[in-house]
Amino acid sequence: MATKGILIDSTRCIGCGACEKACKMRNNLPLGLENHLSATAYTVVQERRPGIYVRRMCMHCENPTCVSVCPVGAFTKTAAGPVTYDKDKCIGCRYCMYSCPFSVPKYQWDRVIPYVQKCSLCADRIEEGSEPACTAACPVGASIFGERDALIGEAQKRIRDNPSKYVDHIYGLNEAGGTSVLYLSSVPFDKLGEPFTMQLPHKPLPLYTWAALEKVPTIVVVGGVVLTGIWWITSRRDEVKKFEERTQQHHWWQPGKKNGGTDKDPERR
Amino acid sequence: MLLRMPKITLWRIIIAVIAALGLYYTALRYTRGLGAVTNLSDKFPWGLWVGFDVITGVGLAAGAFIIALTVYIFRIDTYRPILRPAILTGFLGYSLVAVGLLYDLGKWYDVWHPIVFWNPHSVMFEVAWCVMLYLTVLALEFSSVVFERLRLNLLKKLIHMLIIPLSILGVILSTLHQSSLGSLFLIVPSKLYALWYSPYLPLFFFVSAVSVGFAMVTMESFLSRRFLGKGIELNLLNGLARVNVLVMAFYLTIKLIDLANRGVLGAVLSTRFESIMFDIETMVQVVVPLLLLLIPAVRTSARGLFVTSLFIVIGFIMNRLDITITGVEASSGTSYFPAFGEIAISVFLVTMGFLAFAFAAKYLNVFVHVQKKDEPPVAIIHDVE
Amino acid sequence: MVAIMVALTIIGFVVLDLVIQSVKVKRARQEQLVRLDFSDFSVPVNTFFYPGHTWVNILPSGEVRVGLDDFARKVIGDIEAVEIPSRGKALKQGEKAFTVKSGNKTLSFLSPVDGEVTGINNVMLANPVQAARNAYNSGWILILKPTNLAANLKIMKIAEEAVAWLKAEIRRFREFALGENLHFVKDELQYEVGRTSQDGGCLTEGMLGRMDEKAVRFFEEEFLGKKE
Ligand code: SF4
Ligand code: SF4
Ligand code: SF4
Repeated sequence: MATKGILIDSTRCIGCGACEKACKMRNNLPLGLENHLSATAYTVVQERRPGIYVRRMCMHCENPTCVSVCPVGAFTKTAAGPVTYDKDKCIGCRYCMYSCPFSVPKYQWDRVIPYVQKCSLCADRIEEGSEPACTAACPVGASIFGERDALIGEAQKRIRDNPSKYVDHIYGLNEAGGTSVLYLSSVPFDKLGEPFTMQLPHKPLPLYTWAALEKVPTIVVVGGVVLTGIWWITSRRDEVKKFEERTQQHHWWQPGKKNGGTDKDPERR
Repeated sequence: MLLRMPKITLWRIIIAVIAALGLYYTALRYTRGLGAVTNLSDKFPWGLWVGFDVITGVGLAAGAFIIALTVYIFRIDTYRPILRPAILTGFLGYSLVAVGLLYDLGKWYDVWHPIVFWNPHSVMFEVAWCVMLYLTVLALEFSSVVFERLRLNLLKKLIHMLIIPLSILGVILSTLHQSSLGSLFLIVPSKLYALWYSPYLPLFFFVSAVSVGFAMVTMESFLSRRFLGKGIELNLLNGLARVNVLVMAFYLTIKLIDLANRGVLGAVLSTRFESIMFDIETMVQVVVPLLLLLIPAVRTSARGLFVTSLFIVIGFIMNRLDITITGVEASSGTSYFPAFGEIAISVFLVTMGFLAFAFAAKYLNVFVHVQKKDEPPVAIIHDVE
Repeated sequence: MVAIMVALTIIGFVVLDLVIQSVKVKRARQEQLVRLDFSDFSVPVNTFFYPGHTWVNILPSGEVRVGLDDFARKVIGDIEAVEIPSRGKALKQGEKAFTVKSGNKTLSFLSPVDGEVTGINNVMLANPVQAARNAYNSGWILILKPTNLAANLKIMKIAEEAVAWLKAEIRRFREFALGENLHFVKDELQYEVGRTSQDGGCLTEGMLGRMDEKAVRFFEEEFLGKKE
């Protein structure tokens, strides 16, 4: 199955907040306007420049940081595209929040037993063959759902057809190794605020840590061999020294005499 | 039975206050959740507990593996008197890290999950395993002291037989997780300030952990001399300081080379808050200690070594906190200062560590007086007349 | 900010402890003046004592360690500097071996054996006050390679003999300090007189520092000088 995604065209968004509401209803979250992503808002629409609305949600990275960092593998990148969360595995270390390049995962700080919260790309609805609640609710088609490749084609076509309207950049095509959620904009992305201002490498972020992690087996093997080797040499050295001390003792105490069974261990008192 | 009131000293009062506050906030944390006790937020999910109790704590306990390496693998017997205090500190340090995690993890009762749910791509997973295994190794290494006290000679012998493989394992595990704590931050190139983010973070973390390990052993010796009247001989500590000079010089060199290679050396002179913090940290952690140790009078005096070690330890702590907290403040879009509850719990944990050390040092044979061949038994003349 | 806060917290605790400690030390010092006397002496049983209050310890290598004994150290007080002959120098028994300084007083000690200097205690050079406190361990001063050890040892004392000799020396010193030289230590005596007059008065550590030059030279000659 080809991976699915969402294309968000900020030039079409009218800031009505229908997606926010649909998402909240769908996920049983308390209704009410929120300005930032939070444990009770998996998506928000913000007016980042006069008349320009930007919708925020999980980017569903192609090679997601959150999947890579979670010590217990609570996140999974499914074949269909969504990055899903298993709240029973999660231990609450919040490394995913610390490291997500788009600062997406949010936490239930006020709960005694808190979980990480974020958009799931409505994975269950996709499985049933329908589309996410938010894209279905969008009255103007500013967010559309589809296969990622098709969405990229559509985005390229829009830019080609209307070069004066769009900046020539599909955000999410390469950022952090590519994401399933893609953005189009009429102003350069670095003028749109977080997270677009962040200088993200095109290399998937998990590869940065993998460069260090893949050395682990080597360190174990080489370290084991080297340390055992050193230990063997030093213990050999000590044995030789002991032996020499003993023979020296021998000469010292027996100048020509025969008595006193003499190879007494000098260590013994 | 006669019950005697313990003598009231200033320190005891302070400890009592710390304990009372600590218990209060512990209760609050487990009944009201993280949000009630901490200043953590969605924008700033890692604070003092991760930065100090866990990441710094693991580093500060590095003395154990260095001394085990010296005594068991390199077989430099002169350092044997340091072995037990170092292993004890290591064990207590790692135990405190484990306790700190129980405070910090949102679902603390699932702390064992990494044992069954694996994610080999996660640095945190590797760190979790290494710390678990190493804590076991330390417990086994230290158990021989306990067995000795309980006169369980058979068990003590058993540990003795295992000690070489155990210490080899311990050294490997320490190398791995000390450096991996640095790898934790490799994944945030866009968030961490450029002076700190480097592909060589694992190496920096490892080398600085070695350096602070030496300093911690020295500090412990002085503290236990201060409070318990037992400590380590000056010339041994002097030897440690000499090696540490090399380690710190190496650290400083690779750091400078790395900054130059990445072309951010200029940022050192900038007046940005992060740059200033970076400069202070580097001064305290390596530059000042190096200069101090070049002075022979400092190297051979107890007070000199103590002050130098204090510099190294404080600098090290600043370095780890700068990376976990200060370095990501700008990109987080908010600022963070720990809540009183977070500070109270951290101080509480450290205090418990000190008490546990004092307790162990008092009742177990931690500071072994190794009798040298040329050191005779002593006769004492009392009463001259 | 956080880093600075943590650093300051730690420094705060250390400073607090320093204050507590210095108050304690001050109190302890006042007590010490009253209490310290010469009734506690360690005599290592495998160490030879030369009558000039230097000691000799034979190392497994056959070389000997040399230092000044606990008695001399306590009489002198804190040793602030030592002057040591360089390596390779040949010494004879009864010849001047090294000099120690305490305050404005300088005292020479004689070599207990014939031999060549093969080692010197660097810790003692760098930090004599601390090192000298432990007279028979960290307080060693020279290592000599003896050339005439068997003969040299004849006039030295060991074990029970050393204990007896040292007791006699202490008694002699008490007479010297509190008897005919009473005026040297008047203030101490007055301090002590109520408590310990029946056993002839107590002595305090470092009392040589409070005597005049004449008495110090007398001490050097009588106690540290050459005997046959
Ligand atoms: S945006 Fe963040 S939370 Fe979403 S998939 Fe990517 S790394 Fe994970
Ligand atoms: S907070 Fe939970 S989901 Fe996030 S990294 Fe930690 S264990 Fe994984
Ligand atoms: S995909 Fe589903 S969970 Fe995500 S923002 Fe849309 S409605 Fe909410």
